[in-house]
Amino acid sequence: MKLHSRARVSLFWAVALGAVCLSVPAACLFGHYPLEFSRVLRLLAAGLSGSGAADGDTAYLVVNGIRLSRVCLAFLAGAGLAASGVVFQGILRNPLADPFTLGVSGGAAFGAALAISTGLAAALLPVAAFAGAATALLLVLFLAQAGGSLRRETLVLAGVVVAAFLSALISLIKALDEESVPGIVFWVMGSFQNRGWDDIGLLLPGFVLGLLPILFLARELDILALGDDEALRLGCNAPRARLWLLLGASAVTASCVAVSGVIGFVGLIVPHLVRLILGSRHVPLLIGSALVGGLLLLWSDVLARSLLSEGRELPVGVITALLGGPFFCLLLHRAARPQARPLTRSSATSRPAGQAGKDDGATRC
Amino acid sequence: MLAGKHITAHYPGAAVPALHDVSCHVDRGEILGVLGPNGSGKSTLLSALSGMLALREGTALLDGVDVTALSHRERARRMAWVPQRPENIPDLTVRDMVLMGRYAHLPFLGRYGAGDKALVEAAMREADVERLADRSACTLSGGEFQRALAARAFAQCAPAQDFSGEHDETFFLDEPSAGLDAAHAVALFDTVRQRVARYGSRVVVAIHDCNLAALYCDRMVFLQGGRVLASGTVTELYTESMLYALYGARFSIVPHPTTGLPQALLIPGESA
Repeated sequence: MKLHSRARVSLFWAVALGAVCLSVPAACLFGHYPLEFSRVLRLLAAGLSGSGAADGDTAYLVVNGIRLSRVCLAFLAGAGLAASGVVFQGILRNPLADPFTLGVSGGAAFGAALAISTGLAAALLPVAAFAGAATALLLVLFLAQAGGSLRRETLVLAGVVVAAFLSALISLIKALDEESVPGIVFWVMGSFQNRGWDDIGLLLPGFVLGLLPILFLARELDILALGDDEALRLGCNAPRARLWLLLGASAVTASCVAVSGVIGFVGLIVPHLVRLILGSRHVPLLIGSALVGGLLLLWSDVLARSLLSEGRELPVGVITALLGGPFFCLLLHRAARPQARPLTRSSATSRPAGQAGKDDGATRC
Repeated sequence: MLAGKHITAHYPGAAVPALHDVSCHVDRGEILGVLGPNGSGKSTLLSALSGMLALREGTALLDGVDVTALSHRERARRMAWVPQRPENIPDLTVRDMVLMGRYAHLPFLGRYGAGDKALVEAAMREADVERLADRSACTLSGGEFQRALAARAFAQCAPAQDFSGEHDETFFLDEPSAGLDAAHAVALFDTVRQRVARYGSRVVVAIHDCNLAALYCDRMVFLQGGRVLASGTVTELYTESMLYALYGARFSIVPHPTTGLPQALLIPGESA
């Protein structure tokens, strides 16, 4: 593993922050209504100062009312999903963990599907999604606790089981109620179509509340990543810290999924990518992943709404999966490449047989 | 003094106790060796003494206080581990890894301060890992990693003020020399020995290498099947019959040519 030179880290922050500043106005360019960059900047500035709200100014409405809200929503959702992915991967010490491994996203999609098929008011859809996410999380926690204390293996297993069960329930709803299929597909694939400032209002409370424990316990994440025994020996109350982090990350995920539907791969890919550049320390990893995740979803959404002609949109989840799949193969290939690991051999052969079971896991960097 | 009194401990769900009526103690400035064959309960005894394990019977007392009654942080400030190589080594610099030792000293939501960082530098100097400070922990060799963990343990128990006098500190070393070459193993134990001489630390070390143990341990506990087979000083315990009873292998005991301490040499072709 290469060292994380200061130059590389500084370059990352410069590029990421610069890209965020440029991307927000740039992403507002895309759409039906043609606008040039300087006009978008002027309109955004007018929106910020609250001065230029001239009546009937279509361009102003398009930029500040429609496009900017959607860009912000995509950025926030991407940032939230990526940050949750960092937390889940850290506390479960599982490189495949992300908001979906725990069934949180599946729960949100199921809540939405149920609401669509029962004809609930459209305004209540995000609420139903949030309720579904929360229920799924509680179910997963309950299942994982049933076998004793909260263990990372049982937690992932419980998440997979709950996610599979919920996905079957969604299929059942689709089979029983064919009229609801298009609406449900929207939730299962994820999209920001017709989302606006109201949805940001729906997103923010859970998002902010969930971020609080993550920010306060970012240092504990470093310690939890060493394993429970090590965390206890260093003086960290591992079960309690993990529960708070789990609740925080799940609240953030549920808020994101409640407004965007299920969007895969952002929470999985982004933390891996950023870890390669910034290393494993969680404070920079969380901030870096949030920036990159936000950018990824922001531009995925631009692609989703501009690839097809005549105003038709692709589900943004399709874009992230199409981008994320091959990228993940690349990461796997990289991880599988033999590296100089002088210790794996010696620690494997020297371990007394009676203790082989407790730490025979592969060394990961 | 750290004392285990009649400790009986089970792992969750196990019918047979991992430790049965085990008593032992370690004083200031003393290295206690825990020896025994595989599965005899060495690591379990370390866990029990450090308050990591709920005991069925008996207590572990640190200066008369039950270690399980201490808070997580208090316990970590007074007792530190040099564990076996963890399964997942994060991509952190050695300096960041050693800094984690200071976690138990942080106030609620506090940050690592200049004092913590100075103690980390001192601990890295003591364990001779200063030149590795900016290396990623997952690139270290076995010996280097073990010494970095020793530095973390030193930093973990260092008091924030009055760095010079005796420290109330206990170190638990779980097979620290496993997989290390001879030079690294001796260097690690020399480092620990120096720490003990300087600050009056208590050390409990689970160890397989009975010759290395003879050179560094002041007293020993022999464990077999979770029970104490014998305990005492090296010269008392290192007899051919005792080591045969412990390991089921034939040894010849000879004095070390320079230190005079007993060394156990295996006799080939004599396995039962």
